[in-house]
Amino acid sequence: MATLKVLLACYWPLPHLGGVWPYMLQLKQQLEYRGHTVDIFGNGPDIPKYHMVNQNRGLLKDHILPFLKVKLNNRSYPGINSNSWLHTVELDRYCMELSAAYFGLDSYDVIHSQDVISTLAMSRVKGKHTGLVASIHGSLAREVLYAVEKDNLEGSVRAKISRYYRTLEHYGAVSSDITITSTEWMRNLLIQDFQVPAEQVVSFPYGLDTDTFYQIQALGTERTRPPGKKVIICPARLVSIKGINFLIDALARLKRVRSDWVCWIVGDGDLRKPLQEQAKALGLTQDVLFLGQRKDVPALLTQADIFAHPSLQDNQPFSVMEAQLAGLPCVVSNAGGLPEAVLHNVNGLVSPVGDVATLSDHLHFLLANDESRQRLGQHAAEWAKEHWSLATMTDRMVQQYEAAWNKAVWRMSHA
Amino acid sequence: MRKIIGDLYNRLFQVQASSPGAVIDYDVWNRINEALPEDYILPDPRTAAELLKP
Repeated sequence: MATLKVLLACYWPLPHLGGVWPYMLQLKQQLEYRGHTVDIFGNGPDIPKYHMVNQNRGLLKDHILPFLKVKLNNRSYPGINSNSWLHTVELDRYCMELSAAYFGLDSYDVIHSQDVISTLAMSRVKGKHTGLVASIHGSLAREVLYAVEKDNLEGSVRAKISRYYRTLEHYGAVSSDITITSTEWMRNLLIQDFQVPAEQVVSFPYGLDTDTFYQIQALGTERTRPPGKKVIICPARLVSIKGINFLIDALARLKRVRSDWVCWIVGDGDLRKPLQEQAKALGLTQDVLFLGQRKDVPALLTQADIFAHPSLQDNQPFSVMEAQLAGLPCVVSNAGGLPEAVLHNVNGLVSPVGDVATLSDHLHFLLANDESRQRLGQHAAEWAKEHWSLATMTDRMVQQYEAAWNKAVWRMSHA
Repeated sequence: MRKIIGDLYNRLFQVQASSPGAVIDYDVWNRINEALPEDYILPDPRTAAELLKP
């Protein structure tokens, strides 16, 4: 097996909250352990720039964007300028392309992009000799659609935004040599909704860095479970796509029948204040605690009895994998790829998205039945050990890198 | 920082209109220009076509 020089590329700010950044870090570590060389490229986390994260090299967008705004002006390109949101995204992805060219891509055997925007960008500026593997961690077009549905936009504007992101998602997912998803749900979505050829999409699950997880767990936490109460834990970004409002409604319903529980919501986001207000309005101030962003989640999981994850859309969240590794039964919605990780009545309980009554009933059932809760939790731990191997994921990834690289070699020999 | 007129890189754009006031950093843009594929063009025709629709 050849050692490869790999670039991990991501459109989102690096580092960031959420699962993609830890995924990139653990993949880098695993690849380097196998002798490969890995760099990371993405948006800046603070000031407007693109940067090679591990090399401490950055290029301010000020070198590029003002010139693009002059050249791609409304007179020459009325389409690009027809909507300010889309104008910003379109110019920023060109900025990503030009920044990648600035840093240089020629030395890489494989570029592994982490979203449709970076995939499109890399496909336009890389050389033919470089393979391109795309990991699509979620459906950007669908997430944007959820977001714009909440805004009071005109129908035609909403339709335009939706069409634009569908175009990005289609071309992003077909621009690579190989496209990887972690769930069959995401794979089928790309094939059926975004017309990606089935033979291009490979699916295998994420792995979990269990060593780091157990190290953090061993450090412990100052927070302890309240006496006489069981703990329902929900680690998640507090954004609308995570559906935390449904969990709070379900907890209000649960409180009418029992009060031997508290819920720890671990994470931060734009919705923190509205969710706290929702909990207060429902009389749950003492029952639902917002712990904010925490570094001791693996240790908090050891203090918990039930994991809850009521997402509107999700792929294969790390929070579910970690909860399973900690031996917690998972009470989740049937959004996206969640039912592939959580099998109903085997290692958790699954309810329809937004079905507050069933979610509440599931929590009630597990609080009332110690034997069932422990059995599902034990199965969750076994499932995690069997399915979430980081070494297996990395081996599969390297196979895909080699396949993409071979495609690139073939391209060069037929150019 | 060496400043030059942006029009030197008009080949990167589909519409090659003159922008006399636009100056850019030579070192940055020369490096970018040399690294881009020969057929690179702005904007991306695929999304630009979509955005032209009403």
